[in-house]
Amino acid sequence: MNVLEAVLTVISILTALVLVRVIIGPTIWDRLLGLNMISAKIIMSIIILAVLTERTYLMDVALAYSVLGFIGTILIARFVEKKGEF
Amino acid sequence: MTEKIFLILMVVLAFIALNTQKLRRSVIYLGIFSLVSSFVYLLYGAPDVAIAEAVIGSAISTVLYLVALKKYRVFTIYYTNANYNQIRDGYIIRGRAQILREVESFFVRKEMEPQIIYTTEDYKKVLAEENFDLLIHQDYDQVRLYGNAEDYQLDALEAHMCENPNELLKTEFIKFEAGDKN
Amino acid sequence: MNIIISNLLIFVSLGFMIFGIIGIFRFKDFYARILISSKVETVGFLTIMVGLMFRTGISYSTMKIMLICLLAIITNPLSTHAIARSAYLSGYKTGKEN
Repeated sequence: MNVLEAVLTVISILTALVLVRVIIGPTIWDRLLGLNMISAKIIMSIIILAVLTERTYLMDVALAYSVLGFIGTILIARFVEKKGEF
Repeated sequence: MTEKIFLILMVVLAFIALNTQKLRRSVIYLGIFSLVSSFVYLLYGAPDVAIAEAVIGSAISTVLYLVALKKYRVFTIYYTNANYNQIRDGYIIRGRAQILREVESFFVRKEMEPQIIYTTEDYKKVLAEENFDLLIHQDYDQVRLYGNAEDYQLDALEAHMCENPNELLKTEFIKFEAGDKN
Repeated sequence: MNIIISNLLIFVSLGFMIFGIIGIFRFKDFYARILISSKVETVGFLTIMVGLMFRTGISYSTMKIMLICLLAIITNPLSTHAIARSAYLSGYKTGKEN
């Protein structure tokens, strides 16, 4: 088994563990924290997959996600902070 | 192995997002769902679908859901009275109108639609079973308002009640934490 | 030689990520959890990226990985700061320190 495949499997197990915190998290900010961590892990997995299969155009997806992904987190955080407004 | 774990995560996330009680939590779960589904598209060898899912699912649909939550307008109000059988009709019309008119005019001023339900059941039964946003329980001149602690409109209503208090009625806010079970 | 260094860096970053996961279950305080996750996750992300750069060598894809690293350095603390600021301004107070 290749090293990178094993690393992908371990990262997917870690994602499942973060999802447990997202489900049981007592407040809404714990869930936002889980969203942030899962998004970082998915970007890592995309780049590992691109290096593993030697298809470098897969990195464009990671690039688009890292540009746009934090907009959702910041918008939900501001929505909670301003009590229903933006 | 990776593929199986991510597919199971997608099923779990879709189930939770449908069964949650708070709509804000559902927005977060759907964000994680679109993230994971974008990676599963990549595993199946479709990078163009994955890039569309990453842009639309993470950025645009989150903004759309939040704007829709901001414009969510229907507010369900239950009204119960402790001594329903002992009072005459004229008293009901005058006495009931007092607190309800205040609450209703407050919500109309905020451009919302109050949906008032009169019920003769005991207020504890309504509190335990029904699905409401605000419960008004009146016992002669003692008025209790039950609401959810995380509702933003109730905070504004409480501030409004504190600013212009009613001389005849004693109002009291009771807030409880709901939604511990997702 | 490059492969060995790359494997070493990838295992170190897996260690960082596992410590981050332990941290978010170990602490009972929200602010402690967000501190742990923001620091440890960013370090793990950068370490695994450097390891993958060693593996690919100098090529076209190395520049893409460096660009993603730059974006991650900018956006990851931003979103963590937004979450913590939202929790503090909404009046979320924790109890005793533990």
